[in-house]
Amino acid sequence: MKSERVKRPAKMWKQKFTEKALKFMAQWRLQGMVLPGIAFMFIFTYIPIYGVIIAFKHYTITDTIAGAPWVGLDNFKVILGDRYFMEAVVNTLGISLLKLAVGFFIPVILAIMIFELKDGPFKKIVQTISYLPHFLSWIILGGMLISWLSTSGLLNQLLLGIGLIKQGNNHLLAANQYWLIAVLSDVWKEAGWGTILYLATMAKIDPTYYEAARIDGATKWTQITQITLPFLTPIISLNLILNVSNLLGSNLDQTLVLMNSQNSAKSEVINSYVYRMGLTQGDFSYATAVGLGISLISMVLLLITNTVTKKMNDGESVIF
Amino acid sequence: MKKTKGMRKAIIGFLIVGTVVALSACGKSSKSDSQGTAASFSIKDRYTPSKTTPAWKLDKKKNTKLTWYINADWLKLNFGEDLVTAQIKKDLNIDVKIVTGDDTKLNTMFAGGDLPDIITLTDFNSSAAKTANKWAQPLTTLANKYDPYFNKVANEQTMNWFQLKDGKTYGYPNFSNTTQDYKDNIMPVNTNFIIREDVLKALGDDAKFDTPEHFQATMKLIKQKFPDLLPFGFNPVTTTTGSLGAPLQDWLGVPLETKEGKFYDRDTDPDYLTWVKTLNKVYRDGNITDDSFADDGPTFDEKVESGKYATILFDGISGSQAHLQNFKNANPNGTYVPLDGPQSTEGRTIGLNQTGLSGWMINYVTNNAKDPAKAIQLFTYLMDKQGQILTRYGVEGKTFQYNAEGKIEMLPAITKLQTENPTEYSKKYRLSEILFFTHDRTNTYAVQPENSLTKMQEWGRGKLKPHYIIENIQPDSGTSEARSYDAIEKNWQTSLISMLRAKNDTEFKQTLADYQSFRKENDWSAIVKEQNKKMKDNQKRLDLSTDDQ
Amino acid sequence: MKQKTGKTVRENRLFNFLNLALLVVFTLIVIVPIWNVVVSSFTSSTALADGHSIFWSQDFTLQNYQKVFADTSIWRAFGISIAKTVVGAFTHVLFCAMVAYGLSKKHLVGRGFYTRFGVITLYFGGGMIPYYLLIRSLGLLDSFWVYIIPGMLSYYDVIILMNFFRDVPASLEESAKIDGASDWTIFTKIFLPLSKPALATITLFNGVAQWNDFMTAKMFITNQNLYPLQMKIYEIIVQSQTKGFDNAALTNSVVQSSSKGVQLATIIVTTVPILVIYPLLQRYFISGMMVGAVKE
Repeated sequence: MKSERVKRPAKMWKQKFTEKALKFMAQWRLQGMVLPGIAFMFIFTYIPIYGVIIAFKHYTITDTIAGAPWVGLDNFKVILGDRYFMEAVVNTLGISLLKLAVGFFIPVILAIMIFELKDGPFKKIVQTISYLPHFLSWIILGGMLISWLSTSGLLNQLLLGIGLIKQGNNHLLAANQYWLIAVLSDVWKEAGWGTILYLATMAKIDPTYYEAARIDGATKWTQITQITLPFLTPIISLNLILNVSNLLGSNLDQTLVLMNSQNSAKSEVINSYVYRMGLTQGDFSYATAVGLGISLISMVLLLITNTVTKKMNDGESVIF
Repeated sequence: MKKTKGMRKAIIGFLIVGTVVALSACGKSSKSDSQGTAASFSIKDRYTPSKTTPAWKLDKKKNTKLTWYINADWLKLNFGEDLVTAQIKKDLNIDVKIVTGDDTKLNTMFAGGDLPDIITLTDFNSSAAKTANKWAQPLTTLANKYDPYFNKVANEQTMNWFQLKDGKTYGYPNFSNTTQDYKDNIMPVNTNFIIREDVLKALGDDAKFDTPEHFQATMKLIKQKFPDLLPFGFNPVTTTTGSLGAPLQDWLGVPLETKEGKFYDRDTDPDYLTWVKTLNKVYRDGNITDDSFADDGPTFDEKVESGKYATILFDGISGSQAHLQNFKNANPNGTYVPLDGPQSTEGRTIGLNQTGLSGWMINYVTNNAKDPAKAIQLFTYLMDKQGQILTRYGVEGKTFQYNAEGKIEMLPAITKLQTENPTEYSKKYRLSEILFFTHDRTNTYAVQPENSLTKMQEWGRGKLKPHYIIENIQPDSGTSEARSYDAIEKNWQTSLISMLRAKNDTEFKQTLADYQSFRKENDWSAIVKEQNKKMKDNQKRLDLSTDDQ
Repeated sequence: MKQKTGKTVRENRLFNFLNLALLVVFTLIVIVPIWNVVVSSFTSSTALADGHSIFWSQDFTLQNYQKVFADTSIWRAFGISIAKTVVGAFTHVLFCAMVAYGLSKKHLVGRGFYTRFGVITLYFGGGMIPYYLLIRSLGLLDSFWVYIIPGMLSYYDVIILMNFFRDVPASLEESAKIDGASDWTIFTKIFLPLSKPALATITLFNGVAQWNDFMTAKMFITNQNLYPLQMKIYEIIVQSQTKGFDNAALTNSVVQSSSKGVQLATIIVTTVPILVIYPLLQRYFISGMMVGAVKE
């Protein structure tokens, strides 16, 4: 048995290869549709990838990539030895995980709620209004939040009106409130936009399923859990995978507008830290090293969530 | 398992691809085309350089095209379509393509090896500026070869200040203010303590801000009489210390250096800290609002424009001229006026900062310049009085006229267009937009029109003091000292604001102590050493010019 | 049985009522601040600072909009934006759909490699400098096509479409194959029409991204005639952020710092075109598809 296993592969491999090649030729039309995409990705993503070598170099603004001196893992050592960087990692994870916990399911629920509305103008209006905040850039929204959260701003006037507080506070100066502010403002901005993909998925569910359920006397709740959600699972998994793998990224624009001296211990995230330490100082090597590290971790997170979500989708992966 | 194996294959594949491409790219980019153009270039058959006549008047070569990169995002123009650039185009027989961008774009240019003819940087301290010897041509060499008249229009102290380690000067700045400029009081102050006129009147004799006790009491009084106003305001402090850091120190006359010419720790100066403590008391009285610590630039501007603050310690006041003017227009009775404000508790004299020798933007002729002669001619042209006047005020008869005293006066039609249709005004004339060689001295050629800042500027005459010795003394970027320095700066900003917001004296003291121990933990002594070294270098550069002063 | 249905009907009524009520609350939470933005864009900056113009402008003005449109080149930029959005989104969605269709087939040789090859592009890149050199060597600098070609494919969108295509019933494809249809015909005649919601979504995502993108212009375009609207907007916003002009002499002329009102007006100006186009795409995913019509 063992010797057979050693001997056979060479032959097997050859045979397998021929088989594959034949199959490849037979499906040339299909391959012809995919290969341009592969070529495209090769040109626009893989060719420039050599740029990551500056993570291992001391690269300054006037150098060519090839001309900069090698420094090995120095840039990575600087990053790992920096406790403020680690503080930023903690904040990033905290804010991102909260955003995931709160912000991930709200679009799903919202989409289902909109889907359950009767067709008509209200449905369209709700949906249209819901995505509008997406178009406010953080520069704008940040400016508005600063005024809404100020001592005499909208929020304090509201709280004073209810009688919850006696005196207005500036909420952006309270470090322990920052995560909450960051998460809620982000959810407010993106929840409606996030429903679009789910709505599109629900649009293709055959209405006859619901009719049949209605005849059987199923409640709305049953319809949602038995029909709608199973249809949404692949897209939910897909979004979950992409969201989890991006835990370390993003938040830059939001942080830059909302950060101030008093909340920075809670608001500094990886990207804003790199932005200050790397790009504003022209230290491209530093920024690239951080970026490379984040890419690798993201990849690992992707593989993990992919394995987990496969169970939700009958063993099939939604990304591979 | 199967999946991960495939993943590994893909990653290996991508690494191989990356390496191959990297190698091929290395081979490609090693070609050097930087020196080729300069070496074969000659002006023999064009003109003979002269010490007394600027070369642009001699050189009759037509239709030279130059590319000028400016590392700032805001200037957008088509060269030759407005009054100023059309005149330059005509006088020098050149066409200029202006390209603008940020650091990333600049970086791509260096990486790609295709530098433009002229580069304007915005930071003397950037690594591009510090390594200018690698990519730019020395100005004196260029001048001697193609345009000796340049040496006449270039200020010697400025040239010395910009020397790199090799003793050569590669870049020439705008708004470089020399010792002489400070002596002649040619620039207005930019820091003021201002108060609303109606508040001042209402306070009458009680308007005392000089000692900490008076200051705190007067703020209380303002709150009493004008409950709708915020008694005291200052520049936004979300990411900087605003006017409460160095500007306040300057205001109190905190020394720039020790008697021995060494680094002086201005942030922990007792006089300064006394005032920080006073401000903390004012805060605790409820007369500084928390919002002042969270407001961003536009929010602050809006508050200034609507006169929300009774008093402001204002740094960079010139940038808010329009806001102050708008407030004045809307409230004829309630304009802002300058006061002496807080005084040193140790009897020091005020010494405010203005732009120093380092100026603002720096201009270079690159090694790639196809026609370095034309490039240096353009420098000379713009640095000469004629060019200064052209870029700032335009053309005599078209945009300005000389009055009886020989001072420049803008034509009424031009001023009218500027206020009524600034976009059109900008597009048609581009006055003050080609400011890459402009210097403050140009202001003295003209009659200064009355505006919302006139009183502030009059107040400030003689209150400026050069800060040359501490210009650009922070550690070079990319070094570990620079990273520590950054961390300390950020910690100082947080600490200062926390001190201002302290609930009691203990908290105030504790925050200060924490900051001081933070510095110790973060290489402060190495940073001070580096700063001392840089101050010594600054002194050396300054000494080069003292003979002429 | 009857009782059960009655209970269900009651329950469903309650569900519908709660659903409606919650959505009304949600809409209010969103619309109130948005309304504030709209009002503010019509308010003078002095009145804005007073903070009283929350639901109704205390000092109505069109000045902010006049400032946005003062630069007449904005109209040309508008045209460029429309052109790049339409051409870009159209080519993008078709190319992605084509690749996704191929990848959705389990029997595709090399599929495992292809999908991994694609996923890596989601996380790794070489940074701006090598990318710039690539764009330059492809001759795309200062060309309209730099807006279109590099953005034709995003693997994220491929994954989404791939998942949509997988849900198309296999029976449809099989019966078409029996009729002798080629892969291409099946793709264009069956899969594309059946995936309209997905295609509309990708078109919307990509169209909005194209519409909002200014980085491409900032990095690769120096010819101002090719600037899109967002680049003009970026200039307006940047102007307001550019502080530190320390020289009194220059203040007025160089930086006419734009106020919050102007910034808000620019946001409205750039968002309205999307609001106008939106219903065209919205109908594909807001109401159920007429799947029955295409069913066998």
